[in-house]
Amino acid sequence: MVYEEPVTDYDHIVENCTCAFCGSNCDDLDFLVKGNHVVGVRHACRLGASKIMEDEDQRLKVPMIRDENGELVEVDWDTALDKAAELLANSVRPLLYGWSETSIECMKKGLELTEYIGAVIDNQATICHGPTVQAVQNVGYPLMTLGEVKNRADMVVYTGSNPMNAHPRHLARYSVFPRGWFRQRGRFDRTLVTWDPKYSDTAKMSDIWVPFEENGDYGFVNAIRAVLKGKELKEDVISGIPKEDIIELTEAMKNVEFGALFFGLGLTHTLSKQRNIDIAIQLIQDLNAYTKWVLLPMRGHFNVNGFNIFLSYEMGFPYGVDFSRGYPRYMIGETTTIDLLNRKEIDVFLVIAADPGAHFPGGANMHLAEIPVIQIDIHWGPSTELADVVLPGTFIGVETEGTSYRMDSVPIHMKSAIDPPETCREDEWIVNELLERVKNIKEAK
Amino acid sequence: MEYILKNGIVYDPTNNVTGEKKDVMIKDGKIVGNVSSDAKVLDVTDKLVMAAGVDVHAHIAGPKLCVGRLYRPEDERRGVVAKTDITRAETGFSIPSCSATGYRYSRMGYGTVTEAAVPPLEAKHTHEEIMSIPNIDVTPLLLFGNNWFVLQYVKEGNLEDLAAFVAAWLKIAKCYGMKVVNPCGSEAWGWGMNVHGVDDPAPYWDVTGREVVRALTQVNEMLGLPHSMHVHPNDLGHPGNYQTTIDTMDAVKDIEKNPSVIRNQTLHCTHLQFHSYGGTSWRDANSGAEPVADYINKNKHVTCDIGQITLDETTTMTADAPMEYDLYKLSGLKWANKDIELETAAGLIPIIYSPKAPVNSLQWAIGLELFLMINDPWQVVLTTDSPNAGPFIRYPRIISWLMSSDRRTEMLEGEVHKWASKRTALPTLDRVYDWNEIATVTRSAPAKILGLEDRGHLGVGANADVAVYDLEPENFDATKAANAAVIEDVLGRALYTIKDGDVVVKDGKISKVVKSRHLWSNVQGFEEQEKKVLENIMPMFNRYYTVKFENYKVHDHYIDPSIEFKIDASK
Amino acid sequence: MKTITLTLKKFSSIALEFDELKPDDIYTWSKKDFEKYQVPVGNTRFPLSNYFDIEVEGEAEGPEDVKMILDGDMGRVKYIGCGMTAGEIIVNGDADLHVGAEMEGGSIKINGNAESYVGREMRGGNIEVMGDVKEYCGTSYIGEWRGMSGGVIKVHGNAGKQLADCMSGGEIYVDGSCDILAGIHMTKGYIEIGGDVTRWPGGQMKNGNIVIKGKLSSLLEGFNPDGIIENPDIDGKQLTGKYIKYIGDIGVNGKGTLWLNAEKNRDLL
Repeated sequence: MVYEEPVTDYDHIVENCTCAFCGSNCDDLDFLVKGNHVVGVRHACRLGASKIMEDEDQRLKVPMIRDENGELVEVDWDTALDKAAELLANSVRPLLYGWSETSIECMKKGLELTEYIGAVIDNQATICHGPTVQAVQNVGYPLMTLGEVKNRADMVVYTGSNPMNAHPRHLARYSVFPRGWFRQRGRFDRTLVTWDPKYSDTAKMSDIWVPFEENGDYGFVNAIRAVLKGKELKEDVISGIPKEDIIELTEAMKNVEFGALFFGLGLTHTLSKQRNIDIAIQLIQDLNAYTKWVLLPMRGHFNVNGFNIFLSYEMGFPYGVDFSRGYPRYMIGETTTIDLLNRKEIDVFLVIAADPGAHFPGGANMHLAEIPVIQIDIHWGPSTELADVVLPGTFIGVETEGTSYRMDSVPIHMKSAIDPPETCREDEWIVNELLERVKNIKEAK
Repeated sequence: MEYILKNGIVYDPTNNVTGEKKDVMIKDGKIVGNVSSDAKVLDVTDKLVMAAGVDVHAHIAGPKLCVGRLYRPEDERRGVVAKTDITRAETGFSIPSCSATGYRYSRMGYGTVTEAAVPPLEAKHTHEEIMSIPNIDVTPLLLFGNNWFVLQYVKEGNLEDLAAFVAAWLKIAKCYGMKVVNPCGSEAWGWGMNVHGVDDPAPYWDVTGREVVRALTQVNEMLGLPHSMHVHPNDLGHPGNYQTTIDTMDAVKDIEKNPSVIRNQTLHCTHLQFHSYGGTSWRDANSGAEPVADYINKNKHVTCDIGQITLDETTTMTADAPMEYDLYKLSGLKWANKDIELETAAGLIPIIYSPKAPVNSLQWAIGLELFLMINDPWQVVLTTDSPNAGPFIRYPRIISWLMSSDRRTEMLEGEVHKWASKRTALPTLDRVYDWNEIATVTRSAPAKILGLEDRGHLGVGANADVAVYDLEPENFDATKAANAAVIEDVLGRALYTIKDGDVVVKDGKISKVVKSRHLWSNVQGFEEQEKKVLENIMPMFNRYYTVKFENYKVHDHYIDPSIEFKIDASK
Repeated sequence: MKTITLTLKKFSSIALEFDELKPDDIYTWSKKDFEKYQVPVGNTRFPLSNYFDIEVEGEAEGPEDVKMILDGDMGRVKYIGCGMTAGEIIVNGDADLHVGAEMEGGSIKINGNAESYVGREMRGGNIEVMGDVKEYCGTSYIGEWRGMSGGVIKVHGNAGKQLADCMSGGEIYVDGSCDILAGIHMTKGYIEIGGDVTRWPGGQMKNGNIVIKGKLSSLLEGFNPDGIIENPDIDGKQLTGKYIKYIGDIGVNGKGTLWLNAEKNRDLL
């Protein structure tokens, strides 16, 4: 690693800014500002710092429309907004997707637009922690805020999650390293456990690594529950783990004072999907008969949880909501994005603060390539290659303030530190313009 | 804008108006003594007219509401209503969406609702939801009873600093008053434990519920907050808990009320029904309503709201997290939990209150016993601890039970389990509520208990929050069992609901959507002490919370629009 | 008997929603009524006659006298028979989501494959699918722990994942194979699978019966063996042959029963 000199050439510092990357929503960032740029960031991890500082690279600056030759050409705001509004106003099965990297304030406008045109609204949970939401809806949700882990936990388990790569400050700021009120020796007062088929970077620093076999999550946790109920395990090896290890692990989990389980896409995306989380939740509920256990999903974007919370309080359901019949409907597999795209039902797709081009399965993207796509974003990305109208937004948490919700549902108001580029517009303004213009078109009919 | 509601039959207990035929006049959002001839006439001849309802305890906005909504799509689906030209779509039966909450209270003729439990760390969430709820003003109550700073001050006996802390925190979270839930018990839940009774110390902190309630009640009176200490006592839901309830009420008996407040009470005991059980287990459980009602009758320093069981399938949600876990052990239904660092905890679980079930029938009867045994309606408020004992849309149904002894007998004899008759005194209670008492327990009393002078009544100067119902009290026998269904129907769809002079409901339908206001208390005169206290606690805050103090507060843009109550603490 | 025949003439990739066209709703309708009807498609409604040729013959006193025949690929026609209480529906082709969902009576036959959610929250009646069904056949609504409570579903082909999630009554028969987690969270009811099952049937089940006549590739530790029964009688259903009996899922103190064909599952003996 090359040694880089500390940044000393800055005009002022904006303290206590919030990171706009992962669901850790670290709100202790200091932005070193010079001119109208963030030239240094303190306390952020490399993921957050790189997003905050290197945003000029590949920045979307000007509205664009794809012409008859298939090339994106620059246009003025009115032209772009009018074209997008026309597409939305005339659509029969529109889908407004994304939202997880913009503010609650912008989502409000997006929901208004959804209600007005009878669209489907969905966010990244549909490809990420949707199975978590489904499991929670089946069996319950024993949660805590991150400070509870910091102050009380003496055992922390990560499964299907590799925070050292995906949520780099999670262990440092919240779960394992900090000196908590009841854990004044920090790391030394806690046992760190990883359940993961891979010897991930998190596994490397754990006290215990349980490498059950791929797709074996459900069977493995089922066995732990059986042991808790006093059963003698029949098989010698379950999901790749020797039964003695399962028994030892179960004993250890029963005998801590406060255990916390964090989980991620290793559970949501392997064979049993939401049932992996379903049974993990029931395990945590079982363990509460012996000692204190809680869990939390490791949300990947700084406002993915915010969208679920927002949509729940506004319209009752957390994601994948269809307004086409004038009232909200939530039906997994029917009102969720990937299914709608695979079935080729969507005729106009709006993506904001998300990158389906990078993240969606190929089949879904094939359909996106065939229909009009409106993109509201701050960066070029694979989705820009699919877009027919591009509307450049501004950076929440750096250029525009807004509300977000951390992975543990703590609401945070994200400050702004610099002004956005002159040619860009705030996400909330863009969506509101679309709403107004769609209304004009529909009312004129 | 001027209105004159003509010839209604007005019930306004605050101003001693008991079923008088009189006009109600409105100008510029206030009740006035006269209006010009340009005033718009609303003919409400012979119809029932009252101030708009005031709810003193409900769970309508905040983090645990969203946990509930997110994890109960089956409840959300149950209450789906399509959008109209004026209203957005509604969802939810026991946990309505924000729009649905506002519309449904508004259709019932309510104008002000208390959000009963706000955790400071997530107060912004509560305020965001209030901003989404239309047509009702909200008085949020901030949780203090398991807060680490509070526990420390109580342990030290440091009331001065505790008062400054409370004043500062109400400003930070933009809340109206204080709330205490299962003091010390929800902190014990941080380790999976609970406390039992008011003298059981919290693990590690070594303070008891009694000490916390006493200290905070004294602080409440030192500051002169408009509302009193509002407490959810220890031992909720446990057979034999009535003694804990009486102990809690008695613990603050000697504390003098601040002379400048309009309320009478120093302690408001909430959802009393859940705290009035006798017996030792669910096998021999019986009613503890009589000793509790007796205490309240003899002690004017206490008020209560009932938390009446409505015999529905609903969702329980409370900051009494260990109690929710106990329910999970009983029913096995999907249990949710949310512990909040340094402050409090919450739990949720669906519950089915069945009239066929012995325990639920007992609970139903106990609530009614309390209504009927507490003599002074000014000490009682009608609630269901919504949604815990039932959703708030059932208030009209409960009113129909209170007004008809025959209806209650019908239910006791043919609809509910016999425990209701055998283990309570309900069959012997034939008292009926008249419209004056109904108006008291749903308007006048809650407004006074909350310390709100400008609502809950129709005197000149009050906010023009009015409800008119399609019922002629002079030609209607509310005591007849057959009329119970009529009362329930009519009170659920107001002929007119007026909010600050705007007609928001007409003929049971929303006619206008207005923004709800956030009511909060800004204590004046403690600034120096607050500054000192913040300096003292800042090291602890910085080390043990996971957010920065600068980001912890509720910014002004979250409480738009608001009404700020400047409380002069020096008085 | 009123016979209504809808023959597909235009396929819409945006699905049509047939929740307003169950026998209970349309038993009085004439051909004109059908032609006037605007069927929901996305956020709009279009005339049903854009998509179907419509024939109506005979009279009906009530839904029980109705026979609806849908000819063609109904792969984008959702909610066929949703909520019906009586009558007969025949689909000569594949069917889209929610066939017979919330059904209370009557019968539906799909001469093809069916998408997910066949018989969701079913309370009564009969559904027969000649081909395969996808996920969540006979399931509950997400979050609702009380699922399918009555009625009979017969699948001649294969069943996808999470068959009969939260089942609380009724019967399901699958002739072919079945994917993971059949009968998960079941509290009552009867499932019989003729073919092989991949993994983990009966996960977190509290009660009910699951019969597997083929081979089970992975059994959960939550199930305790309870002997070998020859020609068992399960709630009045007589099976022939030897079956290994398991009780579980003990993780939820369950008293449900798995019956595995002993011949095909020798490795478990």
